Amino acid sequence: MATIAAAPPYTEAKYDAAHTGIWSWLTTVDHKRIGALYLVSALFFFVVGGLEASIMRAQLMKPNGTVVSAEMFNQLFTMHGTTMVFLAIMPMSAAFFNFLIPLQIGARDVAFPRLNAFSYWVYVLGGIFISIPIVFGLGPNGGWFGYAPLSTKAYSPQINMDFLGAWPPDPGHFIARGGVQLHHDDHQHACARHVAHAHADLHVDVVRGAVPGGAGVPGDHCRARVPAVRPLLRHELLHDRQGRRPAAVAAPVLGVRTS
Amino acid sequence: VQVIGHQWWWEFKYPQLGITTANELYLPKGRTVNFELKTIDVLHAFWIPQLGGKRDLVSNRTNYIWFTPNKDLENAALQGFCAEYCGTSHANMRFRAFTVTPEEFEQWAAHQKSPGMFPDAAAPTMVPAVSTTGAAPVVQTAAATPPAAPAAAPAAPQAPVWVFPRERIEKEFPHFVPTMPIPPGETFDENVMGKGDAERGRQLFGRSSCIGCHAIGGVPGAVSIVGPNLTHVGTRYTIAGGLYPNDTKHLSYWIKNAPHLKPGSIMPTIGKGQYDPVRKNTVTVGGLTDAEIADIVAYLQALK
Repeated sequence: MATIAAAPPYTEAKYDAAHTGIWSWLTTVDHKRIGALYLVSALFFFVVGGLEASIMRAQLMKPNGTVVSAEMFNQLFTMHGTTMVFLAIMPMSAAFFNFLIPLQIGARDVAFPRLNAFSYWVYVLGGIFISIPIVFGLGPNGGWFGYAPLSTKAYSPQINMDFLGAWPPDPGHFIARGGVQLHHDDHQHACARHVAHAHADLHVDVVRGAVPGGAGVPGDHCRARVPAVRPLLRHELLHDRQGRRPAAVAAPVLGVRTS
Repeated sequence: VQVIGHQWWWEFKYPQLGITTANELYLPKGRTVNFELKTIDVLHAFWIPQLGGKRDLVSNRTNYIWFTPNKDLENAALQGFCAEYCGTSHANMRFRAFTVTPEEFEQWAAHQKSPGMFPDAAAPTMVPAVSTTGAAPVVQTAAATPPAAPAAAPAAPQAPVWVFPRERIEKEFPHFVPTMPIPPGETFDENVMGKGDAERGRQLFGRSSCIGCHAIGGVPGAVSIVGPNLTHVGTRYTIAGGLYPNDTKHLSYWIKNAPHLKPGSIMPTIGKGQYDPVRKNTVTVGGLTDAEIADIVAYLQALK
């Protein structure tokens, strides 16, 4: 009589000490954790933007309100727009595509987990950098759209707009870069597994469409769409050379290598 | 009409009529008006919600917008706005548009294109205001007007003042009356307010900093275009980009410390010993006392 081998007992994935606690979150390169971090940070900045909006509504509660000065009001709406667009909405989408896309396409993680973590930390630190000046009345005041000539030195001689200009870690770029690697990742896997482009889910298409250079061209899936970026993306700093699960690698956040 | 946006007020020119005014538009009903939109500094947008859409004033570019105030409309006082964020006092960059009958418009225009009329023989030495083509009907009014001025007489008879009646504004368009309070901490000597002498004010205007920015038609030297043209400032309903009503009290406070009344104002503080919050200094040399400001107020109010 044929015997059916008993299935191996189901075991929960075990996390050792290195995978729990604050430090593990600060150093993680796991796409799901980074997705969760994006979500929490985005919600935090969502509250910040909401506070700014509340102060503005308080000012507008009555005609000729005097809750804040005209100058501060302009800073408030500039920072409200900046916060909501760049620090809440965009990272919120990053949260979902970080978390979901590798799962949807059946990848272990994104192609460049460390770059992914780097993108996240640049976003958070940049968000804090840009949110602080308004506390001292020095927040950007030229509108979040920053139209010239109002935002130029001639019409905004104070330091305020400089904060917006000197915001090197513009999170939009970094989130987009995260998207580029997802795109890269998505293609690599699609090619390796000989699956049709259509296999990837609509969500992937949506994200790809939102990423510069990410528009998919049918039949051209196996070639990188951004040749200039390829050497950078191939850099070992971005990869786990031992082939370990990304979550098991202590993240060299901001470029500090461990191996 | 040429519309020129400034931080933070509007300059309106009627090139066919030779009129330059600020923050107040008179539009004859039933006639299409083409607005030529320009800006002298940053982006602004021209908008009279009741009459038409808005359009941006873009640096180094001329935009156009045109519409025809409906012939059947009642005479109306309408609010106009700047609709493109343009800096600190963007919200205080308003203007008023009055739709009037063509006849009233002619009356208004006939008066507005004359040089600033001030009871002083030396001042108006410009060409006679009333065009010889007869486009502007001249209506004789005060006995002071020299009857049938001979060719040699320099002073031209001035067309009578016609403006949109203030009583109507206050009665029918109460929302139209500026309600912005004067900020706390501002003072003006009650003993001199409204008691200035216009002639002294005229002389003061010429030798103080006023003349550096403001033009007054018919006054030699007062030709600058930095600030609003004051030729007929006494006929306007508001000052400071529509922020305050044009009355003795507000005009006095305004001249004394404009940047305190209107955040970021490019017009500097004039009051002696006053702190200028934009330039962050205290006015000393060249500042005017309350009594001197009262003289200037009297002069400006006489400029009709």
